[in-house]
Amino acid sequence: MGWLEKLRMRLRALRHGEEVHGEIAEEWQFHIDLRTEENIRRGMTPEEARQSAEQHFGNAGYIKDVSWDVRGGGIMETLWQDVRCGARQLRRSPGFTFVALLSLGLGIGGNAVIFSLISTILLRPLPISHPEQVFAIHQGKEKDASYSQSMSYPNYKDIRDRNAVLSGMAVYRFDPMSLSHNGSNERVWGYLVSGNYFDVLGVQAFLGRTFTVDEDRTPNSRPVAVLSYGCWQRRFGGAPGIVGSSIQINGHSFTAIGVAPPGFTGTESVFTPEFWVPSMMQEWIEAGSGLEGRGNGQWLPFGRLKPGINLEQARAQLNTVARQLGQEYPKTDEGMSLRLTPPGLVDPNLRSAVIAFSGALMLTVLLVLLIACTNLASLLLARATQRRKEIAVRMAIGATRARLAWQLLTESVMLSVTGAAFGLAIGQALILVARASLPRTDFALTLDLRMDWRVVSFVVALAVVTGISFGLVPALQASRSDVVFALKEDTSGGQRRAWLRGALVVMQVALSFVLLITAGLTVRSLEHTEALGPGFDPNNAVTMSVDLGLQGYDEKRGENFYQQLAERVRVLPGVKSAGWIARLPLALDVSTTDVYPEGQAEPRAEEMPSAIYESVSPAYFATMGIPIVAGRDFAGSDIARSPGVVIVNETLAQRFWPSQNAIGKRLHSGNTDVLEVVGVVRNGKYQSLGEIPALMVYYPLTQVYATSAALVIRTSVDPGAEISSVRSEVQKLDPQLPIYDAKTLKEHMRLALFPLHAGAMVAGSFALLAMVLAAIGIYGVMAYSVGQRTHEIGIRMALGARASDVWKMVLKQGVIITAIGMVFGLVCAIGLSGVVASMLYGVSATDPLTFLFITLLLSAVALAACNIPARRATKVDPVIAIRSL
Amino acid sequence: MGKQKPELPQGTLDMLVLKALSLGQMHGYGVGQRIGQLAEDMLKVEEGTLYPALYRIEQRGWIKSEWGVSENNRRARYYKLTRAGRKQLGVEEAKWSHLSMAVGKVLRTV
Repeated sequence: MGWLEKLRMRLRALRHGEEVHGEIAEEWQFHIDLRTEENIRRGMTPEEARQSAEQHFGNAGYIKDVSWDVRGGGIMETLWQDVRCGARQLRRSPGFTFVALLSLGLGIGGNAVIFSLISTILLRPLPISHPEQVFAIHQGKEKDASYSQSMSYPNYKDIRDRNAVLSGMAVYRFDPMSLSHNGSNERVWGYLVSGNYFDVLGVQAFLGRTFTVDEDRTPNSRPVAVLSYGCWQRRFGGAPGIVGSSIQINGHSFTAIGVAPPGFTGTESVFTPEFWVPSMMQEWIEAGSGLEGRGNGQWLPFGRLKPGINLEQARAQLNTVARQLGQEYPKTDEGMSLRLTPPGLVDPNLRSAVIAFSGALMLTVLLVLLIACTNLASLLLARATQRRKEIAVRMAIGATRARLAWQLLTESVMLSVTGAAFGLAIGQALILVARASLPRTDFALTLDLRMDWRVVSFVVALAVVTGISFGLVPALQASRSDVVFALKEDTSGGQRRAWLRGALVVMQVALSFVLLITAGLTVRSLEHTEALGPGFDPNNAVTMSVDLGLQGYDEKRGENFYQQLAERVRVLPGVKSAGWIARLPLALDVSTTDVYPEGQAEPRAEEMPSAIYESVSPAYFATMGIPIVAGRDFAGSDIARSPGVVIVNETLAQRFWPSQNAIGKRLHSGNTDVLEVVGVVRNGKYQSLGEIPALMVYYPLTQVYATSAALVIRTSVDPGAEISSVRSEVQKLDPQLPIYDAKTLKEHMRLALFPLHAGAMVAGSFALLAMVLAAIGIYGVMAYSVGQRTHEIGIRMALGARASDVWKMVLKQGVIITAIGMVFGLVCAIGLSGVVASMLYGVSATDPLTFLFITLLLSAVALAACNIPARRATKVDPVIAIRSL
Repeated sequence: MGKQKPELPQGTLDMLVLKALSLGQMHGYGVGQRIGQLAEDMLKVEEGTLYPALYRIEQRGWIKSEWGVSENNRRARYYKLTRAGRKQLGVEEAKWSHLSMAVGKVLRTV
């Protein structure tokens, strides 16, 4: 029989099982009938004859099984039988099934979410042709290890033209731009790209065309743009006539020549630009040109390897070119070294940080899953013990051990796969929550979390692996049952299983202890940070930003605008005060400058103090609620012609002039002249809430101009309502000017608090989950143990033990298991404190209060879990318990 | 039951079935009878176990089966040797006589 014929036979047996069984039965009946006739001929009575015939035929059931294996559906049939049998078993014990599915669903759901994060940021390739050939090019110095994806335009052109290993090399750069549409302006983010950008990526336009190399040869000559699919849909309603029409960017007309395909959002995995513009148009997009200057590394290069060139060859050859350039232009390029990394995350440091962070998260959720699976294994073990009789009967009537183990395994895999389905649903729900809770940023940051095929395959693989690995031990244990002992209701076989379950629970308690400690420390850290506060009052205040540079304002016009708008807003009803700052504190980044006090020799480069600086207008401090502890605020009289002044924070004042009055002292700052300190303000947080106190220097906006700035408005009541009235004031001053990033200060704080909140939420929810799972585990073991010891308890009670004695006895067992688990957990938590410490702020990784609280919490939960079975034990009726012996 | 009959060594049943069928097509009962006759009732074959063997051999392609009508006019499943089966029988016979000769030799020598 060929394999095809065999398959056909098996499928026929599966589909027409009755018919095939019928044929076999008919054949055997024929046999028995003939034998019976023969026996009668030999002189037996018909009754004897038939009996003898059947006896001679042998064990019909066994023969049927074997025959069916050969002729019937075989392994497919077996599997199907096991699945049906498993489903029946699971339906029969809904409590067990529910707890197992819940544990697994939650554990696997957590894994799905975290893995989708990893998939989004690290695994999902860019939607370009042959993404495996495309690499970001990082530039650094041979000597030190800091590399970044940056390159100057002249170096880009030389490396592009001289290398022999890349089939194409392109550069890009992201920039804010002002898009005018339907009479209103909006600040949006886009890419400046070299003309070959789309060609190197192999991305075809969805509509129209992408850039030609000619469109990117001469500065300021070809104002063309390619829109992203999202931009075209959202802003232009997906109108097909967009190609060839004109759009206004920064007040200039650009021709839209095409639309990028849906899903293509540029070369970064978490950044979504609105459109692409040729690099030669840079002057129209931002002030100053980045096309000149060999030391001006503001472009982000990437390249596509030629077919047949491997990464190492490419790196070596590119560095040969880099060394040539180093010889030709020693001033800027000496020691230049190049590296290739997968594209998607600009900064190599960011990349490793993301990998470390997601690694930590993945570890956490895998631990939670481990705890969930421990419950599963524990439940399966308990059930296997309960089902000993059933299993023994099946073995007695001829089932093989392998067959039984296979069936039990099928059951646990069914559980885990169903659990995975739950897990995917839970994960999807969590993703929706996570998406909704991401803070809004001015930056076009997107985290497109999705359940893609990677996540689904990961989850399915996880389910099968957990189902097999956690079902295997119970299955083998159960199928090892000794038929005779099991049927006699012997309990000694259960000893080892009970020990195994105890060990599993100890592990659960230890793991959840570690997770709870981590979560507790994170929450304490958050509390600490929030108690310290940002150094300003985030309540009842709104902010909105303008970018005057994009609208072509010069410094004089800009200063006028800042002053006029502040004056107009201050008189609005409900507004208490208003002031400008070039960039709000706790935004994503800060600028720093070298500072040192007058009268000191200029410190050497490595000892030079570095201060964060911002430009602010008068009344900024009052508006933010930052107290001026000495001296004065900036005033309208601090103008370009008047002497340079600064306001510093307390940290700087104390560091430079300890125990002296800082007012009237002078300091050197960056390239400017010596500046006089006119005020000292209270410390605050500038970059992140967790930072150590930083040196801070404020310049008057009238002396150190900024092309874009944020207006902060303190209101007496509902701050949100103020946004529209301020907006209309802006419109009156300049109807073309886009306003961006309008929000309350509290909303702004969400961004700064997000990592902490997210960390506390994730750690907290996983730890609680782990605790619940451990409680289920403790309960399960204790309930089972009480069930097993019913006889013993009955005898004890008959001999005079009181209910409270029994209660204590059972509780003691639970307490011992929990205590051992907690000791293990304590040791692990202390061992891990070095790792955890780096993520904490203001709290020690061995904070005694947290440890004490978690110990009490876990003990209480464990006691509660033990108490239910212990109470049940006291209700044992000695008469019934002993009679059933 | 009278005197002890030896049970069949593992794997020899297939050969006996092939041998029985080499005399012409037959149903399961007949195959059992033929083996019994050929062995002059010296072997103990549990009749039921014939059937899994028949199905297994059929899967290997050594025999073919079809429904036919028996001597007493009942529907019966008839098995017959295929060309491959005939060849296999030759192989098995050669193997078996070789083995039994060798074993016999050992037993006689010691």
